Amino acid sequence: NVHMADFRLGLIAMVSHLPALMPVAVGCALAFKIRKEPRVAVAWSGDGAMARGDAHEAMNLAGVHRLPVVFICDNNQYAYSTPNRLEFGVDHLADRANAYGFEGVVVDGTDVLTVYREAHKAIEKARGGGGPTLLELVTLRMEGHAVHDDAFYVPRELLEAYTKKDPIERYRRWLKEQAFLDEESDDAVTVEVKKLLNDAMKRAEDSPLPDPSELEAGVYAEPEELDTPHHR
Amino acid sequence: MATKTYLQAISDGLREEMRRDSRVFLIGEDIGVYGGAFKVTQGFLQEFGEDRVIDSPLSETAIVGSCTGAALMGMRPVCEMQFSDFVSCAFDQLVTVAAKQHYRVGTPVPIVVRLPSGGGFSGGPFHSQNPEGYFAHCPGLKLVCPATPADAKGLLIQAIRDPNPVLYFEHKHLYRRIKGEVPDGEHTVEFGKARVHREGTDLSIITYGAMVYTAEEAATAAAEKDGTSVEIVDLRTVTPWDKQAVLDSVAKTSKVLVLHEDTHTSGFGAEIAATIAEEAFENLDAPVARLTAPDTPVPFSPPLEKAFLPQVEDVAAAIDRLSAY
Repeated sequence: NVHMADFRLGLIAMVSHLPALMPVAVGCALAFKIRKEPRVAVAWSGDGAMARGDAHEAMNLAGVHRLPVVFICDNNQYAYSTPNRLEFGVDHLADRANAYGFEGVVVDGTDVLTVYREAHKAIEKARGGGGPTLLELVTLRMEGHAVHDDAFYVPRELLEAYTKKDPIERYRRWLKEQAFLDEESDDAVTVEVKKLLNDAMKRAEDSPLPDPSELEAGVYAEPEELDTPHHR
Repeated sequence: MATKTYLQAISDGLREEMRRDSRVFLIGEDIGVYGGAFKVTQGFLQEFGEDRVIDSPLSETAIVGSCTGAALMGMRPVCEMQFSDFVSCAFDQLVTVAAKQHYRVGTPVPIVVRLPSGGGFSGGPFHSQNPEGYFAHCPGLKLVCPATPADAKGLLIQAIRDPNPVLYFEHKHLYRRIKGEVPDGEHTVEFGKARVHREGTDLSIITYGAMVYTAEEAATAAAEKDGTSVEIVDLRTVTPWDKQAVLDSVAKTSKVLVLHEDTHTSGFGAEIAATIAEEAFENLDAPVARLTAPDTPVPFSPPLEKAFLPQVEDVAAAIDRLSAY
């Protein structure tokens, strides 16, 4: 689910029209540039989103002003049921970056360390005044678009190939072979993550549902809400 | 107090807020070197520099979207749609992103979108519209339609300080035609407080923007012709709108004409008329009348545009019909 946000962590709430947040990320970067802050905005979207006009407008404006923003395109090869070949005519979405005057990189999106390395490089480049980067992380959506969709349209062989490339398993293997992860720590991490998720689920389920009287609350912000360190 | 044009008042309001608050910056098409298509931001680039007066690509979605992002990061962006008609290109950023952020996750989006709007110059269907009706239907946005130079400045400063996305409709036909007293320095006008532009006792005209002056000419003519006393209520802001001021005026006069330059069906006048019918039925001595542009695109040809825009004689005829009822 992409509808997560926690402003305290710097996560801005997505809207369902995913690429609509790309210009918003560019605006964050614009604020950093105006205030001369060494901060970087990261805009996340998918292969489907890249067909939209706002993706173009965002990357164009970012390119013109060489803003500190990194565009992450999570190319999982399917936009709902629509494959890449019906979404774009270029070989790689990353090729588009050239048209906006910055670098585009195709990355194996199933390799945690490669993704980390490329993201780090792009973010530090942006922070240093080197402008935007478009990272196309190639992966595969292993389930349907949502729970109602069994993804029958994705070829079996493709799913099998990507099952073997499962990034979590690949990274686990690497940690065991190269970084001394033993069975005991591996189990401990697995247990810890499961507990975290179960606790979060339980907290969500135990939380009271909103009262209908709250329906109209919060349509508009009140002036005192701007009286925060963030907005001052 | 000094006498200023409506355009100068907007320009002053912007400049003063930029001097007062370093978080305020401008972005739009041709607003820097050129000073804006209507010269509202002339001299701004020289005074504030290119970090705060940004000539954007021809890219309304990116303009509004980047304002939202900058606002979330603590800035106070003011963007310009070169003509209000072009805001259709940024519709999604306004109604989907900016308008709904606070309701969903509680983060304020303090942005101002300036929208030079309105007809009267043969600008044709893409440079003449009054698109407030689309946005009046969208919860989460505020809509401002100043008629006087004092309000143009006061409502703009208020808009910049408001914690919500504000659409500021500045009527192009008022830019250089209308002059008035404008308070110097700090001047704000509260949203949702209508202004009685002219006191009267026989009937009320509820309007905003450039139509305030069309109503005024017709009211003056009516007073001279047969002594009809017309009250004109200038809403100043469409969202929020001052329902109480409208109901008070209707209670006083018992007859009401709702007037706007936007087209008829589902125009904001329909909301006003419906509210009066719901809440002031007992006070009415005549059915609520509406005078608006017809349901057509804005025509280019001068005689057609004249027929499209409500004219003084149209208002005068509506006053006569209401008086005779």
